[in-house]
Amino acid sequence: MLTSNYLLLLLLIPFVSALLIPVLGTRVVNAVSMAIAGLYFLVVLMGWNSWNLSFSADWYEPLGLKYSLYLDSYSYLLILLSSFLTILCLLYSWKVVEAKQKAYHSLFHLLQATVVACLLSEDLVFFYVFWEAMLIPMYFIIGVWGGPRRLYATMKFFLFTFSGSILMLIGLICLYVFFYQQTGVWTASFEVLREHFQSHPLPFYIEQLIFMSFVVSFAIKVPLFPFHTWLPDAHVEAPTAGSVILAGVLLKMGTYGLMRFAIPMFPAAAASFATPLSVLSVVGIILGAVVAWRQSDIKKLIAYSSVSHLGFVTLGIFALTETSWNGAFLQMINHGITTGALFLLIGFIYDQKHSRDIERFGGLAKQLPRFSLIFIIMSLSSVGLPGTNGFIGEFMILLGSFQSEVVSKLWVVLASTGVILSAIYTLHLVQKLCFGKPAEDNSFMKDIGWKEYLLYTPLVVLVFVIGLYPKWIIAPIHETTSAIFNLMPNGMR
Amino acid sequence: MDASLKILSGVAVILPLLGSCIWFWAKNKIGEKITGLAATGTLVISFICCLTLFWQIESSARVEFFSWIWMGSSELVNFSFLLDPLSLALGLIVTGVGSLIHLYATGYMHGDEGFGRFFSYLNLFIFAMLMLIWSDSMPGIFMGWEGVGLCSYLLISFWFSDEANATAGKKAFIVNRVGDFGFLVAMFCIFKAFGTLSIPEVLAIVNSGNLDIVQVGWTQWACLGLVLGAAGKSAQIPLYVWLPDAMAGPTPVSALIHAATMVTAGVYLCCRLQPLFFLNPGVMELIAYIGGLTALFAASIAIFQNDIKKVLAYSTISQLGYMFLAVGLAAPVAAYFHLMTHAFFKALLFLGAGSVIHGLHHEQDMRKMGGLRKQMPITFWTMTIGVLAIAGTPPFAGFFSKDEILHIVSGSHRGLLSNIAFVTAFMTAFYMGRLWIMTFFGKSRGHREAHESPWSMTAVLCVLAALSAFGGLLNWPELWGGNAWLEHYLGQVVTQMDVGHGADALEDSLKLAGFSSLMGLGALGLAWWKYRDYQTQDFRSPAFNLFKNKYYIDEFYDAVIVRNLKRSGEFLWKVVDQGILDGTLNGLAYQAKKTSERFRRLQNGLLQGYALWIWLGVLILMISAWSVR
Repeated sequence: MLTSNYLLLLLLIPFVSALLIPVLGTRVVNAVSMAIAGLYFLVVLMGWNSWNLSFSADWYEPLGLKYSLYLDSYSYLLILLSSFLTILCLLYSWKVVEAKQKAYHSLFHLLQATVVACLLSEDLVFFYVFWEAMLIPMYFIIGVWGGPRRLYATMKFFLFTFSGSILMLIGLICLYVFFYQQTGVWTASFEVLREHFQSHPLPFYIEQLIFMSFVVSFAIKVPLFPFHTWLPDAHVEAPTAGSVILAGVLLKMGTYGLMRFAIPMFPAAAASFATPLSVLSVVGIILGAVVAWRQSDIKKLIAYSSVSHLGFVTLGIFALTETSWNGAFLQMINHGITTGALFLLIGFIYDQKHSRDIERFGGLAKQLPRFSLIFIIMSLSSVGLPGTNGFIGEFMILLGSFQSEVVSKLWVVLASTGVILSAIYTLHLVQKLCFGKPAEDNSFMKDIGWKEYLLYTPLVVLVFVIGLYPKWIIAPIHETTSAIFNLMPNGMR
Repeated sequence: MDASLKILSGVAVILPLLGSCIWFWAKNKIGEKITGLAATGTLVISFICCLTLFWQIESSARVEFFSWIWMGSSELVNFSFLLDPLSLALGLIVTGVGSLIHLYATGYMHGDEGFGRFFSYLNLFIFAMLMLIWSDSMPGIFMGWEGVGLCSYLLISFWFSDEANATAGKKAFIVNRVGDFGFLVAMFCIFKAFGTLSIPEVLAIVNSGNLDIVQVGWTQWACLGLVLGAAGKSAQIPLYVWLPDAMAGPTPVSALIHAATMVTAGVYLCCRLQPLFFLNPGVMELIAYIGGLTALFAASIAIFQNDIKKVLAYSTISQLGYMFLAVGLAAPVAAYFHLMTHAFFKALLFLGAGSVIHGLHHEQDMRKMGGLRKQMPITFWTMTIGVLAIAGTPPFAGFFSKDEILHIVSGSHRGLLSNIAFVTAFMTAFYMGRLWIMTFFGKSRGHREAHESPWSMTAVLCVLAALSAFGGLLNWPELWGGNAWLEHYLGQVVTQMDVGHGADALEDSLKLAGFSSLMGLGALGLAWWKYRDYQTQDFRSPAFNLFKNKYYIDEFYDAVIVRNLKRSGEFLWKVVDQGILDGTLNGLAYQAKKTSERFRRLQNGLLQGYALWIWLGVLILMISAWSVR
């Protein structure tokens, strides 16, 4: 069994490597950085099945702030996903990103560090600090290595998420102060606050206000309609690896926050807002899909498809059933795998052609058959074809939501039309890219080689392993889900 | 016993899947010949497994493999098979006809660049189809359901360099997805009603009869969803539009997927869940009318088509309509019987058409054919059997199955439906006669030399012709001294409407059979009269434009649905996203900038100004301090 020091290890490795990389020689940066990422992934893997570890040390005693860490299967799986995607990103960037390599690698490790810190936090102030800190490395990754409109995109990205965070800060301070007023003790420990406010409820409208302050902040990150407009810009301008982490990990922080903090803290408030929030999710599903269809920039198309997919996730969350939560969490992982893979694939052809205009491709199935095969597999996973991971997540979300007490069946049925719409935009993309005649000469483009095989094989394997035998991943997810639902008041279960 | 069932059914399913993974890559290494034969071989093994299962299993058996969807607290779905008459009979058809078509395809696809890819997809299709018919749970069926849809998509757009083929494949997938949406919702409703998605469990609950009104209410929605799903997959109104376009795929695909097997999945589903439909007579009625209308509607289009495959495609839709009609009238055995004979004769007709197309170097327009009976004798004679079978001429297979449906319709006392059924039978014989005569008789209107196809293709045609000729023996009616084997076999799992016994019934049925076969021959004669020396154009009058243009349904869908969806996409993107949402934000940002500029003007570096502001501030503070006190 691992001890709580393991959590420190999880936290410190990426921080230390982020500091270490800038002092390395230029030639070894790539190798060392990738080695560390690989090592870190192994360290994370070691922790499989040993969740529910905790660690606590004082930070600033007079205000009751602590470095208090807690690892459950939710945070574990997201850390695993993040460390996995980080390896792929660094591998992808090898020989692709040539400018300012040290800073690039350092920032990726820093991003990993802040994400892990955020996921491990049990203390809300600690969580908040790293929630904000996550923005910084991403800001620079887009701002330095991004596309031509990167300044606009970074500004938008920063302002959106930052203004959400401010709201969360207000909510957090309220909780903190209310607790002090009622007990005379300062603490920001989530568990202590949750238990206290469960047994000594605040006035309901205050609960609702605080809940909404958290939800808005998380919803911007997800992004939930109508807070999603930063995402397409950020994705389009971000370098490929940045897009992968943004879609694969950072968006999940929002849904994680909802599942781990906002809803367990105020389940009754969550139930009272279930309808409007699930309606927003459904609007997101449909809007994301229909708008994705009309895009000519491939990355923008995938960005809008993310809005649609994350709409499914939030629908599952706000439906407040165990099945839909398991599905929602699984779908978060799936989206990381599938959309991550799609961004990597698009990056692969962008680097050769320097265009993302859908009309300038075509017939790639003939020229790049291996690329096309993998691209089609990932598209099908994104469409949610049974046998792939996407189906399991979507199906559990919809099935669970349909049994929900708080969300109307009508919304679930409307959300299910997402399966038609996703087929429309995804097959549109496949056709424009892989089928037909090439719009112009693409004969200089090369098919994937061993490096790309290394990148895509694990992702393809995951698509099918989760799609055909999801038990290994649903079982751990369910542990945390049932723990959370067990703590909710009876009417909620 | 149990282990052997597990191995047999497992092998039958896994082998094509493995094959599909191998042929994709292997063709370049092992060559065309071995790839083709090996792919056919896997199917033959599958077929033998099915046959053994068929002999071994008396009534039904369940075979469990491993857990699939696990909901956290409980198991939702296992990978497990329900092997009973319904699934075994269809399994035999799928692997049997599948093997034949594989063999045929080794000849048809000879020299094609994507030879390996083709067999890979074809094997994958067999895998998915077996999953569809053997799975014992709704999600398991759904997996096969979407899997065959995927293969159909891949095979329709097989020659993807042509944009039209890719578009046709996409259309098939998306229209099918509309049906799948219905299937999904049906699953949610069933789960809501019964708390399980396992078909034997659901049926056990339904058959026990202890249902409350709420549960029945949910089953109604479930059945409606299933009808939508079945209409999608089996190309019924309103979702039939994908099937004619699906003819863009290679002809063996049209024969296997779009005539013999996949499109019958909807019929299978309705038979499988028959007790659920019995709870909702209104939905049954709906199915019957959808089927009847589709049969008539598609037949009326088929008469005016000039592409040989399009005629067959509309004919398939029309025959599927017959099957739905039977299902809706609580006659699943009749539907199944027609499904089987249709699998034989329609596969035969498609493959015969394929042979013609192959012989004419990919010419599909019947106006450029003619006089081929001398150049392609085997194709001609086998096609003749197919045409006679579908036209309902005794003693060929189609006569018995169609006659049974006609018998049931006329016994159901639904005047409209029985009129439709008879008119459609007449039209069927007519357009098939037209196809037959335009292709094989008269003078050659083409410019190129035709040749007979290789043995791998003609041999298959002969086998299918034999099946089409004698398939009627499967269910020789008891009234006529037969043993109605299929009826007894399927009767273990489904309930068939009774059509009566005794001398009266015999007389009725003989009259009906005589009438319908005379009608079929009459229609063939009419076709002979009209087309025996066909030159260039048939229906010249503009009055026929409606039929020629397929009632403008595609145009209607395009204008009403596709275009509006596109428009709403543009609207949501340009107006909602970029206009309202981003506009508001940009407005806010602009206001913030303006405000900050106003404040900047305060910091103008003039000491007097600062002093003024300081004094004002102090004053305000003092006043407020005083007022608070």
